[in-house]
Amino acid sequence: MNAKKFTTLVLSLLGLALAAIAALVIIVDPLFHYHAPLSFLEYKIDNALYQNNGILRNFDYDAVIVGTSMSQNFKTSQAEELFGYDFVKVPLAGANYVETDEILSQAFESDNDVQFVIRNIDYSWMDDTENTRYYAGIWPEYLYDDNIFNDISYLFSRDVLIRILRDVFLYTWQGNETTTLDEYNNWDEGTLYGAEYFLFEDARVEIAEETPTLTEEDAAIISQHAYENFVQVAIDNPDTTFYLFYPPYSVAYWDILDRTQKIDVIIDAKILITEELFKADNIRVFSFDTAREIVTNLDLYRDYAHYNGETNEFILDALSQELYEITEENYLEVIEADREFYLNYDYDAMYAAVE
Amino acid sequence: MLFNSYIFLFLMLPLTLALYYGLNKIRQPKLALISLLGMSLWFYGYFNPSYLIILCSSILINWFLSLGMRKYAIKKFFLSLGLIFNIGLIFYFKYFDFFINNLNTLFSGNLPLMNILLPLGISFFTFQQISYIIDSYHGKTDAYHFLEYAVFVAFFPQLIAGPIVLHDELIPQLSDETKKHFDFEYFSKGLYIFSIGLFKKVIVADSLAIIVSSLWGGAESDFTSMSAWIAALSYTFQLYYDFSGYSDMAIGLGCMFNFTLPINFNSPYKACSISEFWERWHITLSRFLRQYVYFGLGGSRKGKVRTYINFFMVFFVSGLWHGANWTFIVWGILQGIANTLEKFLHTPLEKLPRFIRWVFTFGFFIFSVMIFRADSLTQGFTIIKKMIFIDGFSIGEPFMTDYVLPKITPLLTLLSPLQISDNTIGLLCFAVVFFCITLFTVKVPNIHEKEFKPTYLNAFITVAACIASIVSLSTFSTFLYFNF
Repeated sequence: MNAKKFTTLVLSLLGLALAAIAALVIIVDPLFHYHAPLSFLEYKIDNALYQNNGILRNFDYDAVIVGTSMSQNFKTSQAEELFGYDFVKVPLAGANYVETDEILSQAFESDNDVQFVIRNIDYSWMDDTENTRYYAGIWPEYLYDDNIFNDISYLFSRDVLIRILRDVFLYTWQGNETTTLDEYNNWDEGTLYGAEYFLFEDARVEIAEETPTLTEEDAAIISQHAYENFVQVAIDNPDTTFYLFYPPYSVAYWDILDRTQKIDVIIDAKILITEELFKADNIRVFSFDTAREIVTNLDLYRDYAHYNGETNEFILDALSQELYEITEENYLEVIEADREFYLNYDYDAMYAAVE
Repeated sequence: MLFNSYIFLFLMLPLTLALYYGLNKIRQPKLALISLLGMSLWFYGYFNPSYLIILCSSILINWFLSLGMRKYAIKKFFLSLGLIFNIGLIFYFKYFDFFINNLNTLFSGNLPLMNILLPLGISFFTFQQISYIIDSYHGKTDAYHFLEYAVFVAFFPQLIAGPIVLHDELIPQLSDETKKHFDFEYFSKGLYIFSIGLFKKVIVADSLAIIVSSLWGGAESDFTSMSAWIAALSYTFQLYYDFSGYSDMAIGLGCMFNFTLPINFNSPYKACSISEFWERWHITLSRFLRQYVYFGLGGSRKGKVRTYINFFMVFFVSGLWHGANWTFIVWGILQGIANTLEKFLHTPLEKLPRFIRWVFTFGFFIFSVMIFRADSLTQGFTIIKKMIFIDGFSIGEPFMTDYVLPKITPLLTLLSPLQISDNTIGLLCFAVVFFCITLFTVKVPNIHEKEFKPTYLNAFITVAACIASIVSLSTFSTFLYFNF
């Protein structure tokens, strides 16, 4: 073979191989970036960071459940029964407010007419004035933007080829069915719940010597972030109803805040955020701290904050019945009562009860 | 921009090749060089456009200084200016904060740090220009056209990670009429060498990098003797495959443009003495240091003691060149001591069997490179201590759970009837992997040793290496949600 033939052969083979790989990924499209799942293939949907965006782009729906691990165990079938919409569920564990907002924005950019949104607001990000992205550096921007050129990261990805794509064929061949959105992102099954699995005196947080406070500047930033990440999307989409809820973190979580002397900071931040939420008429706010029977029952929790699937069912039921709602009229009274409750709760007794 | 990126492979490279050969085809060689310069500046500025100011002013100033040397009799003045400028530039961007930090420690002071971002490749393009200025002083440079000089410094294949090309290696090729036409011989060779380099970087080095960063990311106390050895061997091979892979890519790219760039790595891990190692490792840096530091200080002409001191200085500068940290300096000093000792004990050492000498050479590099990689001297020596005083055979946590177990799960299932511990299976896997890499590295001939032949096998290797590397540029993050 001469050099000319070598070059022609290598470049043609390279071109052909790359074209074949790209075509395969586009046709099967395991991240649903170009189209909904193909009817003759069964898809294993188990990667929220990479598949949420495609679900919002190419599935048919008119309602969305979004948020973090607090919303992962919701079942869309229950939500559909209670609210009468076609739901998709796209929470992302650990995501901060900006990230969940970015996920949600894809729903409004899709062809779907989104009528209804259920979304949780985590306590863990409340006093974050930096807008720290949880997935900084690994966020798959190429899926979120509309730049077709950077789709190359999807088309020629080793993980797509040897894992995600393989899973589709294997899943189909093994006779499985495409993951339902009840199952997707759901870690309830097989999880152990109860204080005995996570509440250990030895691991209890040290008592902080200093009491953190919110400066005026911090307060302004928290309000601004709340507006940008929760309110703006509601104002931009006035025909959509948003049910935003503060999830029931357990008293064990509030013990950490108590010992780090952060209860006041978090409650103050919650008030600031809630006040922002009232700026959009189509946002309704629910707070499950008032559900004391939940937050004090550690049998429902796998750790300080994460509750079981039954609690998710309870939350959906409550939302459908508009229970635990806080309004402009009662929010201060309700949240201040929470402050009193968490500041005075007997956390030592909680630990003693486990031992 | 990096060679191992989609934008480079699918846009920058094809576009530059098309522009360069296209413009040469329509007999516009000047425009072809301008396109090469323009694309090289884009390549450089893609990381941070503000760095272009540094690169361009460095090119301009050095060019005018050499022009001054040719026009005026005060050559020494221009040489001094040139050295002050280039060394000052590299000192400011690379060593200023390190210097202030040490001053603060020494005098318990509180001088503010500048937090200067190191412009990419500054060590490479500054050294190239120092050599040019010194050669101009000695009258060894021709009256190069500014455009040729600018392309020589900024030519993207060698710009950010070497090889450190000398002016008389590249500039004559830029003006060579016979090199302006697309040449399948060169291009096919370039494709082959580039693909091998890409594979070395993306598949081998980057896979080892995961092990290295996962071990080094943890606390020092997490290291066991076994994990310290795993870290040491992984880093030793990562460093070589990363750097030599990048150099191969540079040489391959040079070939695609009909240019021959100097070899930078010639299988250094085959070396049987430390001096041989340095003849094979980062060859163009060693060449620069020999030429401009060793000979500059008088070489071996000023007596035995001065020879040893000069020899030692070369390695001290080499250490310092690699980075602004005491770890690099101590690494350089260690290399200097080892080289000087070896020179001193040359005759008895020669009598040792070749294999023993190889073990000493490679072993010394493995230990010394731990200092090179460590964040601090304390960390480096702690890890070395763990490597020497074996504390058992445990791979240790969290590395075992986070990295090893997920990788060997299928093997564990397969071998479960044998009732061997997970730790032992993990260790055996590492032993096999490192044995294979060592054997491959030491036994397989370097791609620059053999003359390239356009065979079907080489075509297959080129395509396979390219495809494997391209699809490995984008991977899903294996981000674990620990705080569940």
